[in-house]
Amino acid sequence: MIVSERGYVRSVPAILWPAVALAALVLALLAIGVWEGSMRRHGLKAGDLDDGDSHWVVERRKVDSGPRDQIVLIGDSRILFDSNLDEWQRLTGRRPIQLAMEGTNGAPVLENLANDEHFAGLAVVGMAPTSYFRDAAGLHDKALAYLRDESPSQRLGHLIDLQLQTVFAFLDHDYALFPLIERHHYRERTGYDAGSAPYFDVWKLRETGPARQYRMWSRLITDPYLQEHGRLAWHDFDGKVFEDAQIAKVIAKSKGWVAKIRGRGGEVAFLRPPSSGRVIVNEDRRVGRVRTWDPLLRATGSYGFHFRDDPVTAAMQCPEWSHLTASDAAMFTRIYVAALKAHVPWLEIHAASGAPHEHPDRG
Amino acid sequence: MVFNSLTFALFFATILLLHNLPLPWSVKKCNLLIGSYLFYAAWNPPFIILLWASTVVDWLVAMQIHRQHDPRRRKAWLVISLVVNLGFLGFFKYGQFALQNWQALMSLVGVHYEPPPWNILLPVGISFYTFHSMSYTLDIYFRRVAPIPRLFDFALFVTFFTQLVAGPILRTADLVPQFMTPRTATRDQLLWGLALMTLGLFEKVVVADGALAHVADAVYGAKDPVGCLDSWMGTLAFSGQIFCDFAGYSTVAVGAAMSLGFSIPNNFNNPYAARGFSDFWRRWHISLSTWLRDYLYVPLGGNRKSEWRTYANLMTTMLIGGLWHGANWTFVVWGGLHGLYLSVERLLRGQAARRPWLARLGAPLLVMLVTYLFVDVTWVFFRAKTFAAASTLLAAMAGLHPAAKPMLPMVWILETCVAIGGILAAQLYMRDRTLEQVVGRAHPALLATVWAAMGFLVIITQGSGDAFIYFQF
Repeated sequence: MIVSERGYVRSVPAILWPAVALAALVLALLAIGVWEGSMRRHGLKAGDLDDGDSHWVVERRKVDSGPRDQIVLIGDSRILFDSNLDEWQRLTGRRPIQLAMEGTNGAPVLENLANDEHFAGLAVVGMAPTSYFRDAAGLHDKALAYLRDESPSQRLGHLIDLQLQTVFAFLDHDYALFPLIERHHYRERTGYDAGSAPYFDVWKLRETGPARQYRMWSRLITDPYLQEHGRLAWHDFDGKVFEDAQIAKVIAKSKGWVAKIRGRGGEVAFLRPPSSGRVIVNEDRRVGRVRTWDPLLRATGSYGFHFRDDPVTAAMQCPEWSHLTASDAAMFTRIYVAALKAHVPWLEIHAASGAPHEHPDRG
Repeated sequence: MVFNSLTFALFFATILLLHNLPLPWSVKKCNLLIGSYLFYAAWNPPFIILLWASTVVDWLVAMQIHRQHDPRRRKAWLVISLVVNLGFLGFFKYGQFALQNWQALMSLVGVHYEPPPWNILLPVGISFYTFHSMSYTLDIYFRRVAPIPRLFDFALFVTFFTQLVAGPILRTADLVPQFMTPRTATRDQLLWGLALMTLGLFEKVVVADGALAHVADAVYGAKDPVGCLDSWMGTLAFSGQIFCDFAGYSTVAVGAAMSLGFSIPNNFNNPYAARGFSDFWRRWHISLSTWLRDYLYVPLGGNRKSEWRTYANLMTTMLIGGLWHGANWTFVVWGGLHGLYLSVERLLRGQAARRPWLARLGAPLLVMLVTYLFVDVTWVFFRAKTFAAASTLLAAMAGLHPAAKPMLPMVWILETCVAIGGILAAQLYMRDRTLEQVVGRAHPALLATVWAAMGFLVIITQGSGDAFIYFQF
């Protein structure tokens, strides 16, 4: 019993605390062990890291702490899934910094790099055109603010979290308690837009390694139910056709950002990774290449690799219509890096080692 | 740092280890003080200067107040303390609010005034530690306590990490005497403290953040008007979220202190089982309501003056209490409504004393439900960012938007019903019991299972380390 001078008494319940605590600890450890085993049977792996603003800012800081002529990949999840950093390193001798973010427009990050006087490297801007040509930043709209505001406590917490994730497979936000509860298909009320139900949220799509190396989750390739759900979650990228004024505004802004980076000796290239099924049908309808991609390259004077420009990448299919499998991503990377090397002099000048120029799929 | 973070787990384990090493008491207190400053600096290091300034000023001023015999000089020193503390609070918390109101006032008389952009961060927990620190100079002024001879002990009182950023707002007499003699927790205190921390984290991580926060956010962030059921679900979800968020924080604070051998009073006592509004304010954020009672309501005259003066004092106290929560007129209205409820209740109690049949009208459960209903509706002003948003939501709750499309998915409605049902049932059961009594009578196997289940659910919920709502106050 603890008594303060004021007379306040906080008592401790009179029970056998050591026995209760030991039993609780054993039960909790047992439950965690069973849960961990269950999650591993669902295909989760230790070392598959969660990705979020904390992870992103670690990579973003590398831009400012390293040499000025770094290579960075920015954009949405397409370039994130479809780029293999090892292949980049093998082909150019340079390992790019992965700054793309799921569900997030690359334009604000391009603007951030354009305004960063330290950066004079190559920015490869990947795009799902519906993402790049909109105004909204998207899912990780607070990442740039987090870069400024992250507290020392959050930094340390992220480091501890990374260590724990290398041990426990169940530490995966896609398989946390409430996302699992919300994964059942409940009967909705009359008038409710059923497509908005949490059931149709994006489920686990990827595994993430160090330095934010994404690859498509292997279960998504082998499990037809998950694959079909993955397609449903995109809602076919349905929506209105983008207005000309909106597209012109984004192109004008991009031109300014590219000029700023180029003015410091850097360069910007654009990348359009593949999509499939009804997703690409809707993308072509809403933000077709002739209205967006071609004018963007003309206005900025940048080189761009569009997956339809190469017969191999044009034939690639995305299992859930938006991202490539890990093996296709490696091939896609080989092809687009070779194209960049051939058309972007900056990359040739700044490459760390002489890598072959030939089309990797023919070599 | 926040309690529901991995950084805090590491920090607390380190503090616990150091506190249980065979070191002199002065060294252990030094560890606690340095640890507490690290706890605060881990959020934003520069703001620790404010904490130091508030501490040093209040300690020096309190000494002067104690030494002076001339009432005018005593009052002058007290004013210095109040000006410094309320000045910090006013500048950082209400600066932008004051500018906006000045701008609106000027525009009323036809003067266009564009204030400069306000890019000043709000130091976390400033409302708590300024009130905490001010209570000391006020207690010295009212001759309720003797001054603390050493700045070191006063600094530890202000900064002790368990209650630094979100209360409970402690009094000198609560905590300072406990620093005077060596303290470490016994084995049972340590384990009870850890059990309380698990309970607090369960409330915060699983119930507040996991089950309820997204429902309240969706309804209160909706661009279009929502329907009747959705608006009620959003408001009920917020009532559960804010309780579990804040009570969860307080429970972790009590548990952490207990694990180190210190006693901190409860800040909540099953408020949603309150029968009436005076009962509610004896159970909700107890340390703030008693602070406002002792340092504002009573000095204003309390209920010692005329009946009308009592009502005026009540309203003044609740309006200021509302403003304490945030720099927005919506908070003032929230406080004002509670002041109104308290006044009406006082009036009815007076009537009931003269007409006994009135007292028999209110069955306890009915009174409890009516109280919860009013508290719930009043939360709308607390959660909504503008009066327009609040009135739209209140209209929806009154069924005035029948054409609105349903917006909440069924699973979120189920989560809200289960969580709110559980909270109300638990509070009804616990209303006249203490947690210590219930735990003391429970079967050990049941206790171990519940403790393990709460810990397991906290871990698999994998919270995102969101800050506690009351940090912003």
